Amino acid sequence: MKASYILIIITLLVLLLGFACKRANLTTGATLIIYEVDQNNCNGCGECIRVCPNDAIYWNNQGKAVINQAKCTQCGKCVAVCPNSAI
Amino acid sequence: MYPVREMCGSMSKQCYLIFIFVLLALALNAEVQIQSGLFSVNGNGDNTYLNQTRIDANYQLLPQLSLLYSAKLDAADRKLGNFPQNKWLSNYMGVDYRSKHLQVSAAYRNLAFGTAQSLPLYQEWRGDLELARKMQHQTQIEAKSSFGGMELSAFGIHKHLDTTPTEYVFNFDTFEMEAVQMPDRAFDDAYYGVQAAYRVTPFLDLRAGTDIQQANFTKNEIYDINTVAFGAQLQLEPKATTRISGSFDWENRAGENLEPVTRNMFYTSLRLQQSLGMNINGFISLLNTSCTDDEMSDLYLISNQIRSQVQYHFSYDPNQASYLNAGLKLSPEFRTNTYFGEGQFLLMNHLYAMLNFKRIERSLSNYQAKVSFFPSPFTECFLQYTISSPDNGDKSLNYLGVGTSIRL
Repeated sequence: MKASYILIIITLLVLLLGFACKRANLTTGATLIIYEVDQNNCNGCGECIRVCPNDAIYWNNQGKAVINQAKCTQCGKCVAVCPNSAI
Repeated sequence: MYPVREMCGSMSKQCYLIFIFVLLALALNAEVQIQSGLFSVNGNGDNTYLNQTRIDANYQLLPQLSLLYSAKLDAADRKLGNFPQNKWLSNYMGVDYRSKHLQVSAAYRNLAFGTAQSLPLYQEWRGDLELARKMQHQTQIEAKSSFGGMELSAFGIHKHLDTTPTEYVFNFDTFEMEAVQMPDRAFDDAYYGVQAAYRVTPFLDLRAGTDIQQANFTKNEIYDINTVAFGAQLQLEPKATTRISGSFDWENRAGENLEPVTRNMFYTSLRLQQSLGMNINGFISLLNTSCTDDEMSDLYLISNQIRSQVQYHFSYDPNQASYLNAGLKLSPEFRTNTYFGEGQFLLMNHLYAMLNFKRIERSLSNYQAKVSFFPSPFTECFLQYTISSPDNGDKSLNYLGVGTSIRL
């Protein structure tokens, strides 16, 4: 039962964040692009590291790609080459 | 033929080293897999050839200790698609120790960028420099210890990048910008951190961690980031055929080069995995990524994302290797929705056909057809045709090739 309650709370969080954020985004007019690697879908092939023009991606200890947000210039080249659409 | 000959020289040496490693692995009776394909590529310019080779070796030295080796080579006569290098070689060597309560892994990776083009690396720091990547070395170590419901881990990564810089200076005599090649230069990054996770109940995990990303080549530390993260993950299996998981993570980042609104990141996910019987499996997941500034004055949406995938296994194939797989990734904010479909079918004894389609909106479409013949369960010979069609106006690239995969 406890687990079900927690799951319901997480579901509500996803929905609330989705809608609340959208309103905030519309009022400020801000456009944010941040590239992150979905660790569950990354196969560690390194194609993103190969194309990144700012040396912003490295492998972590699990062999998955990680984007250094301070170096990333949001060029989006990694998105096009990722075979698993993990970015 | 190639503008930067010495880079190819270092790659050739690496290729010889790969052969030595493979021979060594075979001598040690390690599990080795070799895949290689040769493709003729045409479209968007001259015809060329592409060789793709991958080697994986795994050697169990002791019951708790294993050695791993992996190499991946892409070699073409000219730049293909989005990739800035004609040649690219990646090597990985690792050692892994696992006992009941302790897991330690150490590894060395290197990347040889072959005939690298000049790239605007670190343009935020030195906009007047272009740096051609030659070789990247990465050493890493991780230790994980678990006792009771608690798991502690620590890691350290050091990355060293060798480059050839080109500086652009204005010539007052010719009134033109001139490219001046500078002495080789190296850049070092360090990443290290610790994490603790605690299993509160069999279905609930709590985790906390901190890590530091340092770029040690700039005096003003603009690329440094310190991150503190907290998270919770829930996993339920109400039925043997259903798995539900959800997670919430908060990351606080501090870094000079970060947008203020990305200092606090929130990641929320929900995933439902279902087996519907009749050889049908699938999942659907919802992901929300949001952020706020330090004052938490406003909440910004980065993306909502829906991922879904369904797989059907044909029961007529005794090897269970014939399937249909279809999926999508919808992200209304990025408008880069992705759709894909894949099917593999047993045509007759040992002969399979595979069809593959993938579309990334506003980026590219890929189509692939492959016929594979398996003379034995460990050997594959294939004929493959791929069309990669970018949306940026460039012509499509057509890859036609043959290859083999052998497990020894």
